[in-house]
Amino acid sequence: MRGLLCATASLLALGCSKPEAGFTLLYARGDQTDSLDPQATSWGGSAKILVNIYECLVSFADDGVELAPRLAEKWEASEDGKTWTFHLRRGVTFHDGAPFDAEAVVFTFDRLLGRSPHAPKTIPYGPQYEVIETVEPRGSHAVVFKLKAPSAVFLMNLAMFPAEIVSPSAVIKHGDQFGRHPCGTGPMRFALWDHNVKITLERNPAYWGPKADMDRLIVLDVKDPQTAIQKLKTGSVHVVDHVTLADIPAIEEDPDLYMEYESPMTVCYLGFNMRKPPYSDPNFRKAVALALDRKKIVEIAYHNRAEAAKTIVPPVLFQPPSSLPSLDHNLEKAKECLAKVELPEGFVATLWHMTYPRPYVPEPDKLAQVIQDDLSRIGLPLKLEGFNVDIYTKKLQDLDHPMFLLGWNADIADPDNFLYALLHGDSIGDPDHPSGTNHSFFNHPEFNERVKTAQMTLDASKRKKLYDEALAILHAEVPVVPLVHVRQMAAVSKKVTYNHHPIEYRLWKIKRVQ
Amino acid sequence: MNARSWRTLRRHKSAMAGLLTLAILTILSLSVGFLSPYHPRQMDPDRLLETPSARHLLGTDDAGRDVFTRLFYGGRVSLVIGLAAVGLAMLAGIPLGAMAGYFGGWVDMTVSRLIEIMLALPTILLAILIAASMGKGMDTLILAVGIVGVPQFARQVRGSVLALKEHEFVLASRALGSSPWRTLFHDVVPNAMGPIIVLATLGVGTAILTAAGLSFLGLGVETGTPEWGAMLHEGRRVFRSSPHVAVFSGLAITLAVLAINLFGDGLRDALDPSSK
Amino acid sequence: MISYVARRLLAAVPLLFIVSFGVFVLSRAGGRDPVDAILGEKGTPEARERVTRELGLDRPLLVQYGIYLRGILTRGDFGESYIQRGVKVTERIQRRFPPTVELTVAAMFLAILLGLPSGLLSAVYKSTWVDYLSMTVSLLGVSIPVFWLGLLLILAFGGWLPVGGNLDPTIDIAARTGFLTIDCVLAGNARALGNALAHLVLPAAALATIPLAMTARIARASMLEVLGSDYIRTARAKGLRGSAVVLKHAFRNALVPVVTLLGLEFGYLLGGAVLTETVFDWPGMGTYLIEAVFQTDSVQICGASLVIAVTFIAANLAVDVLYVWIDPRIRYERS
Repeated sequence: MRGLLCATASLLALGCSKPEAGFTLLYARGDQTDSLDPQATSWGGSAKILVNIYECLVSFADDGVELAPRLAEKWEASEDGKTWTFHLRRGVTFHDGAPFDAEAVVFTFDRLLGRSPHAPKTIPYGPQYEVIETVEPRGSHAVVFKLKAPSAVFLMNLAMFPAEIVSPSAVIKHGDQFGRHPCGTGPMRFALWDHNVKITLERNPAYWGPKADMDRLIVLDVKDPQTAIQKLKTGSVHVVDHVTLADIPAIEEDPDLYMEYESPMTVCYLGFNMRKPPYSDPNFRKAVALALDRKKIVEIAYHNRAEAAKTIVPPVLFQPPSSLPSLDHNLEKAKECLAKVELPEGFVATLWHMTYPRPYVPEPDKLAQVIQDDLSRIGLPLKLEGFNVDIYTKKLQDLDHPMFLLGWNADIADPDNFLYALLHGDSIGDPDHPSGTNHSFFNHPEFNERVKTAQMTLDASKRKKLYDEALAILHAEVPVVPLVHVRQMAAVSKKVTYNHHPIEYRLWKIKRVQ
Repeated sequence: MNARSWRTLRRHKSAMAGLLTLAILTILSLSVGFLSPYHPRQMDPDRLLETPSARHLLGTDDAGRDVFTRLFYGGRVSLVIGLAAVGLAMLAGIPLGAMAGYFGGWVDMTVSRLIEIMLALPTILLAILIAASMGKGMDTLILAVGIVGVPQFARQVRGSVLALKEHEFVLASRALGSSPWRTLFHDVVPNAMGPIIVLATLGVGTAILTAAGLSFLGLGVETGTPEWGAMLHEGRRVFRSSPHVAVFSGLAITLAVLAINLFGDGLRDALDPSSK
Repeated sequence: MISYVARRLLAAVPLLFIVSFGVFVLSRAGGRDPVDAILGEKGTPEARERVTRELGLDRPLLVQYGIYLRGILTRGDFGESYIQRGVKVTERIQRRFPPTVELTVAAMFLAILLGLPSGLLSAVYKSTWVDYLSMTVSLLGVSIPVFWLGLLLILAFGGWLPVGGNLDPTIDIAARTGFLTIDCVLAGNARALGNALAHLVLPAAALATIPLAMTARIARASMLEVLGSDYIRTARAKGLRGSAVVLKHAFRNALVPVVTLLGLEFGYLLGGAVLTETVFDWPGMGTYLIEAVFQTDSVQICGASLVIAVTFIAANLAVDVLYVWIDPRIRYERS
């Protein structure tokens, strides 16, 4: 009788109380999200969330950067490399219940290429996909891409977050609010966005692939890294992705925590608005490049957790030729270069910087101050102006920016992702109303030609030669000063395992330690 | 200030302690260039976040800059901001309040409404809005903090002038044919200066706090300027592992404001024995 | 009495209009041009002109303000952000306002609970160590920057009490009133309530310092005045014992000036909340305003500032009325 009572009681308890939401992963971050519409954003803080909600046709392998099938099960290219056919996975549904099919893929790429009434107002990555001439369905579960020219990076670009497939019905339903009501096919689905406080995702129970271990993922905005670490230590978050550099030794000593690093597929650089004097003067740019002591930058602004950059491309992706002339720290030469520049009386240079930590610059205002210190040594006074996430990249498109700090995380493991996106003329967008990711407005015919040809060149040694030449042009023109390559890092509680993917933030793959 | 109140003030122990502290802070701030071998912006990659030592009396910050040097260069900046902001507030507030009190009528109506409107916003909110609309920088900061202080002075002066204007010496001055302006600024206002001096003294403390608050939020001086609020802003980043940067800069603010408040309280007691 | 309240309310109306217009103009100046924000790169002159017209930005500022105000008064609509597309300011305010009220009320509670007795005790035991201690502490309280004190509190107690936010993010509480503590009670969730209160302790303590010090100082001064007045001396002369005098007569009369101070303190609290919330990552109106300022988002700056300003004015009004109610001797005819 007593046993029966107990059983009834526990049954009742099960029936009445809402099931405690099993495992919630808490991820504290310092950056922010501007939009959860993959076609509308270029911001890493958004991409980080997007890859958990959406999927691309192709994707990176589990722990590497080789390409693997995702929403496309297989694909084939024509002889001339200009026609690609993708066979889509069947039985996949979007989070809103709509089926994933060829129509959705066509809809997404029409959006990405700005050829649809449903396209977002700005499409920062649009230029990278300009090689696509048409995208057409073939039956319900195949799509055919026709390219304007063969491309060595096309397939890789399909694995980048801007090519993530969106639900057409959700886009139409939410219109320009889609970025606040994201809907994809991924392992996690959107639950709640408490702006600047937290974003909650929950496990997609209908996911076609292996499901997430976590029931919920809460991405918390914790602006102050010290508060974030405190929360990590007291166990109220599992991962902190914006660690104060000075705190790393203590975290490494803590028996309950560990630091997770990934190979440095990032660059932080100082750019110049090449349309604005005196930044348009190559001697001015060279003077700045020579004045900057990258060793000191690494030591002070990165506490030795970065490597000084020789070129804009991280060395893990491309080894520059030894013949490349050096732009290393040299005060005398820098002063000589600056002397050749006609500066207005009492000229004060201006550097714009972001005020929020980025993976490639955890403490931007300190980096800006080191630069200020360095430039003061060649007699160039520098004014610093900091901006917040939501406006920084937008302001960089206003044409009147001076020098600026910015960086890049690899979207794909290829030099093209750096050279084309950051410096190719096409990546400026419309020359009068720039919208792209080339904020220096560098537009050099020979450089453009080398990079473009390399995109279409499938032979590795020929590509390397083209990139060698392209880098030599950069060193002569100095449209940007590459500063450092940073290892991405996170402080993690030993209660979970987190294997940083070199490119994507696959937060949904974080697992409990059993 | 007459001799009697000066004597009272000199016997006021806490006021003198405040004055002494202020004098020490000022002297150190002015002479830090001679006292310290370091430059306030000079970074040293080999000496990041050192704790206080003989070499760096108050340690170094996370860019290897000497905290002692920055703190007292910061003292110049913070004290200048405080004094300039109060000066600005007096410059605008005293004439406004005096005219309102003396002339009455529509002048008083207008000024009183203005005071009421400005006091209808929490000071820091008004300061944030002004600072935000003008961008970072020391001049902006002074302007923002100064404007916020205007209504206090205007209100105080208006009250004093109202009380004074029926006094015999004022009536006498007018009877002798002085113009109203002359009477106001030669006879009335100087006699209302006592409470204004007290308000101004305490106002410097408030101004330093408000300015430091704006800098702490990132709305104050330009990045990298040695200023107490900005140093606290930067020190916060390494607060748990190396609290000394934030602790010393906060201590400097507290000490300066405390000294000003002590002296101001003493000044009030000396100038207005009835308030004791 | 009623006519006094009505008159005060009526007088507040033009004040509210002018203050809100001032805030409107200042926010515009502090924000990015909405046309730029919307169009970004697609800013051809024609498009700019069209958007300017669509948003009504070509009309006089006063008309724009009128339209904005009408939206708030008729629909409770504070507009939509141009910078963060799709963010409705009213929704954000609904989310961010209650935490600030909770923090402010908690701080006020602390300030009165500790400040009043220490001020009164100082007066009763004037010139003893009690007095000196209490006055030193309160002098320190008005001199210490609240954001620094917040950091010190985190350093000292951050290991024991939760820091950052107002609730453990894994706890879900249905937002019925928006006031977390009330919602926890309504949900009957004791664990959540305990967690919310624990989050409240440190920020409230930091925020309470200035009003605590002010309360103590005013309470002391006013108690001294009352103790020195004729009727207390008379009561003492009639042979009433010391503590009875203090409690029965002096205490009540000493409270009057303290009450007037509440309005002023509320202003300090709302202002101080901006800094305190920043230190503690508290999701309230203060951090909301600062986020908006850094996003140069004029619509959100305006919404946030307006709500803070109106709350402040309303609180002052309430205190004025309360004052008259407590002490009818005030000649409220004069207004």
